[in-house]
Amino acid sequence: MSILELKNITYGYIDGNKKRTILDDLSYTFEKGKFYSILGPSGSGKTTLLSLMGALEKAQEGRIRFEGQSLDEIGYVKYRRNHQSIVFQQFNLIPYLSGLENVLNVMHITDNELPQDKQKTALNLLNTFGIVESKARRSISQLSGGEQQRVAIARALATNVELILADEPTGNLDTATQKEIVAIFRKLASDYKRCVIVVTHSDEVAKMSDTQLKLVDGKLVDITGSLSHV
Amino acid sequence: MYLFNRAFAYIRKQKAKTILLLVLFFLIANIVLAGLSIQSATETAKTLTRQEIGADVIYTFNTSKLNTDFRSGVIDPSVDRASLEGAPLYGNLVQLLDSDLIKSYDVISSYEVTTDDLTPYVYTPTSTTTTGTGTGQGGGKSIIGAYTSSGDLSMRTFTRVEPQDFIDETSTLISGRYANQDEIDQGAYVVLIEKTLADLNKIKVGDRLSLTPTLDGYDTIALDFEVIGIYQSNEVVDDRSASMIGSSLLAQNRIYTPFRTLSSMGYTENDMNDVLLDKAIITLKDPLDVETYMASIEGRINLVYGNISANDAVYEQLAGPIETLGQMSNVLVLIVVIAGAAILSLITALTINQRKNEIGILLAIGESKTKIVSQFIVEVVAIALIAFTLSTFSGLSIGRMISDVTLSSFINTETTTVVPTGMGGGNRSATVTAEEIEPVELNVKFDPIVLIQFFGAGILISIISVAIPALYVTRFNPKQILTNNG
Ligand SMILES: Nc1ncnc2c1ncn2[C@@H]1O[C@H](COP(=O)(O)OP(=O)(O)O)[C@@H](O)[C@H]1O
Ligand SMILES: [Mg+2]
Repeated sequence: MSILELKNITYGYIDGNKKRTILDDLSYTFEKGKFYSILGPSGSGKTTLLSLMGALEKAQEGRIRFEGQSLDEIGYVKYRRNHQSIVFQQFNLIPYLSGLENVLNVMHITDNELPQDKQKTALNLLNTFGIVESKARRSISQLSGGEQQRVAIARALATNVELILADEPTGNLDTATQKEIVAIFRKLASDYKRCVIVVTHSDEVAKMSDTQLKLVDGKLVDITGSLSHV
Repeated sequence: MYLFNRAFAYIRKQKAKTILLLVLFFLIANIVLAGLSIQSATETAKTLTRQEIGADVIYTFNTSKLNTDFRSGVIDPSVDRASLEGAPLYGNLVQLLDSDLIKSYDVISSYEVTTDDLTPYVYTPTSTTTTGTGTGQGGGKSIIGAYTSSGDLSMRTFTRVEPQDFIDETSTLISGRYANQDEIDQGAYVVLIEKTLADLNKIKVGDRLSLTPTLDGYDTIALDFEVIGIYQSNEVVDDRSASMIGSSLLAQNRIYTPFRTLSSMGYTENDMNDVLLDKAIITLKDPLDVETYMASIEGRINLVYGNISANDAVYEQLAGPIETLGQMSNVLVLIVVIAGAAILSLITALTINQRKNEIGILLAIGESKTKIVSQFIVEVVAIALIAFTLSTFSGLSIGRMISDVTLSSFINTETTTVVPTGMGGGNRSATVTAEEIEPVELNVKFDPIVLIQFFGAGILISIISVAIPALYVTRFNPKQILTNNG
């Protein structure tokens, strides 16, 4: 079942006085319950594509529909708040809040129905990612990069959204943690019927996904199965 | 409303900024409160000064103008002074009386009388040389205000139960009574005479005197006056002046009688209107109405040679520096408020720049722009409220200290202003001098409403100086904010 439909997306940056097209008439439809990976060389436009899907900005041409409704119809702020969450490459946690507060913050912002006891839910969620309560209450700056990324992932899942976007979420993590996190993404897709789209340059991560896509010349190409097995 | 949690977390975490803002707000609030207290003190001082100076408006000749024009020959010294434009004629005074602000007025004019019943008091100099002129032939010197007397005694009129001289304590009633309102209104032939004259002639309260007014164009008929009171003059006249003026003009030979006696003697209303007054005193119900009253009578009389004053010179002298102080503190407060708003905007603008990433994150997770800006406002307002609350304690005492020091130095200034009080009675000087104004206790009190308004304005300014830079940043899309800071 389709969840996110990209139609004829074109996006470019003005570089000096020249327009450089990054995404060129890109169309693709993502489905619920699937774990996608997007590969591509550095600078190919993966982050740009993700930020369009996360409604952080608007494509110059083309249309994005979420569950059949265009983002304009849903409203950008509402869409960001209630339908998707992004795990950023640089974590992007609010520095003066603790891990717990970062999670609670999005739980208070979303309109989605959540369990009554938000604090308990948040602590449980953090705990499943190895952030125990004492750490959860610590200042962000007192957490390691890996721990910060776990908090960021917990934050992304705390609002119960259908679409989870991640921009090289495992780049900063050791192999063991990387595997653990990818396993969670898999589980979210298969068991919880979420759509998980992960940008990565790791073939290892890509191989665990249901569909492997590659950003080539501003377009998404399905390369599922073509990755050489290790 | 998780924005409050975020705001307080930020305040706690960014201790340096919080303390900086706290100090900034505290300083500004203290300066503003000090300014406000100076202002409140100066207002009180002005009011008290006005009240001390009194509610009297005095209508007289403009002596300095008159002197100048006499000297320069613009007017002939022999001119009938009553014919001068703006001269204090009763008819002119009447035009000043149409006002709800007036409590009472006293009409002071003089006329002379001759009598066989009384021997006038004759001045004997304490030093040996000159002998006083016995029959009122004295004067003759060309001092403005002294004129050749035409009688033995002078009558000074009043229209108030307690005549102005008695209020001023130049004269004090020692036995008998004042004229009552009926007698005043009807121009009854009643008089108050000076103790020296009474003693000299063995006159007591209840005696009757036959006095003959010497009024231009009127028959000199002896009239029967009743002595209703005896007063004592407190006027001190130095030897030189005493020997120069006619004896009828000596304070001892002064007799108080109602102004309306002129009417009783046959003056028509027109004649009354032409009576030249020594001065008229209009007492207002409230000293604070003086300015209003003065403005309301503006232009009613063409005051070429007349002068209407409300002891303005004394008031100006006292209130002037106070007013300057008040204005200075006003300017100070204004500068501080503007500078404070500018500093606050700058601090916010700088920190907002550091917080671009945070704003991007908040936008990316779906927080609304309004709530992001609100968070920043809550952060600043919370600090401002703490600072303002603290400042109410310190600012008030600072203000009280400042105004105690500055105002007491103004009020204790030992200066005397001589206010000319008309000519007929000689050169009597100042009714009020700065010295007479007692130092006043200045209670710096704050109207809580003013305080709330001030804090409200402070918070409003803070909100604006925070909201503008914040709104500027939230205009961008989150990708821009996040990547520019990544
Ligand atoms: N704000 C921007 N302005 C101009 N060029 C940009 C901007 N953001 C990204 N780019 C350029 O667009 C291209 C794609 O960037 P990005 O989507 O971040 O690539 P990737 O994530 O695949 O490495 C890069 O060449 C990058 O330099
Ligand atoms: Mg990237």
